[in-house]
Amino acid sequence: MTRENAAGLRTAARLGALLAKDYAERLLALLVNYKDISASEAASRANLHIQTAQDFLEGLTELGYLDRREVSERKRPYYRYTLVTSRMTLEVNLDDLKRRRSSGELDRRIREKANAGANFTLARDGEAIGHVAKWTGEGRGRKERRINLTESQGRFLYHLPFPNAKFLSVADIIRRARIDDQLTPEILDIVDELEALGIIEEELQSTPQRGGL
Amino acid sequence: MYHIHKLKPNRDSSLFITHLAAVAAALLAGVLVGVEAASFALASFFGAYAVCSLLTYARTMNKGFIVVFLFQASAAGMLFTAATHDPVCNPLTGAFAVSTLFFLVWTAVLAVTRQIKWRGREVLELAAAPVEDVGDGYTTRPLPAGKTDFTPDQIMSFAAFAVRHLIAVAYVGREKVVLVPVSSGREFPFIVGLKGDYTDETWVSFGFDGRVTVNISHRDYLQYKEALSFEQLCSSLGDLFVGFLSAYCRGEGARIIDRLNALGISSLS
Repeated sequence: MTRENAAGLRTAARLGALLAKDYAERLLALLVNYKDISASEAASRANLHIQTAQDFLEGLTELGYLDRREVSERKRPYYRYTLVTSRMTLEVNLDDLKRRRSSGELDRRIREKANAGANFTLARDGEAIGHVAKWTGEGRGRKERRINLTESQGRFLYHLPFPNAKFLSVADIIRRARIDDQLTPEILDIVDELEALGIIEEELQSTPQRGGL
Repeated sequence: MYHIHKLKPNRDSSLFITHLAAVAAALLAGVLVGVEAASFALASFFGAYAVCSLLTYARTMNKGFIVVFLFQASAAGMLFTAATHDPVCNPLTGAFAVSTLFFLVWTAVLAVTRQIKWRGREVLELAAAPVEDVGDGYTTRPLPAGKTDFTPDQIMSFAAFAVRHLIAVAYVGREKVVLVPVSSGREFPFIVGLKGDYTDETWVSFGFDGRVTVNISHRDYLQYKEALSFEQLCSSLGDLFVGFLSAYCRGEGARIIDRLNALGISSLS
């Protein structure tokens, strides 16, 4: 992501936010044309508040595009900034965001949690769930958390075992709902989300009892 | 056969209150305006009921409602002519009185033999009969209750049978038929067409591809004395309707009615 040593979507987002400023082009032009420049010089040249210019320059420095050198003038230290690259590349590898399927994840045995307070609404064709809603919070802070489902997620939840029914593995439910294997990541995503919301529960793995005479 | 009822007693008094309100309104009109006004008010109520009965016949094709309509229309005619003419000298009032009495007896026979009774409670009782486990587990999701190999024609024909015998109201779609069992006293919105959306009701869906899906509404689930295992209850309701459909296809529709009657649920319930 970002330059060669990019590290994540957050870095790209920070760079994007800096480049989106309406004064970004003016300040970058100064950095390209000046050997080095201080925040005060850049601010006066671009007609900005010094703090605005300094924040921009500090931001680029933290991302590694500028080199910062401390200089002293009449015992008052300040920074001068130098551009260290002539190219800015914003690259995001979306594969990094793809949910990795760990071994045994499809073997998790799940069912709907009893008295979860969730409201499932049928999709128009009546053979899948359209969305799930659950009220969270109390009193005036009570609000509805509503999740609209994809078609495959809706079919998955349609076949989810009822509360107090026998647990079924995620793989079995996927099979019952005839969901394409390629769609497994989005199924696992909704399972995690609904588990976090307390709508789905997972069977506790029974640990073998230690026997003894 | 002795049957243990799992539903709470029916305490729905809305129908009784409606009738009582009609009589009270007529009495009030009588006191404030006169006997003619009371007769006219009662005639209006009977007339309104007659329209509902005719609508019910049109929706269900249950011939019993023609008799009910004739009784209510005769009663309305009798009261109306009594209000507008001298009741003693008017032969029309007498003729209406005779026909009212005749159709009243016939209606009573139909009611006692449960031929004009909506069977929702019987369906819920039969669904609960094999369920012994308790444990709540209510969910708003429907249960996929398996697959059958009935043809669309068989499903459609059974749906017409179920509607005619007031076992359920049918919603016919392009790919499925949904049967909604309706209890006595709750039929009005279905009859007058106010119930376009059945999804919050108890229903059994027969897909033309063979899929059977079952849903039990929270309101109906709360009618049971105990919190029966919800999955077993839904599964049992699905099995019940598949059994009904099988029996109907074997030409044993009468046995379905016998099973419903055998529960001994009151005609008024």
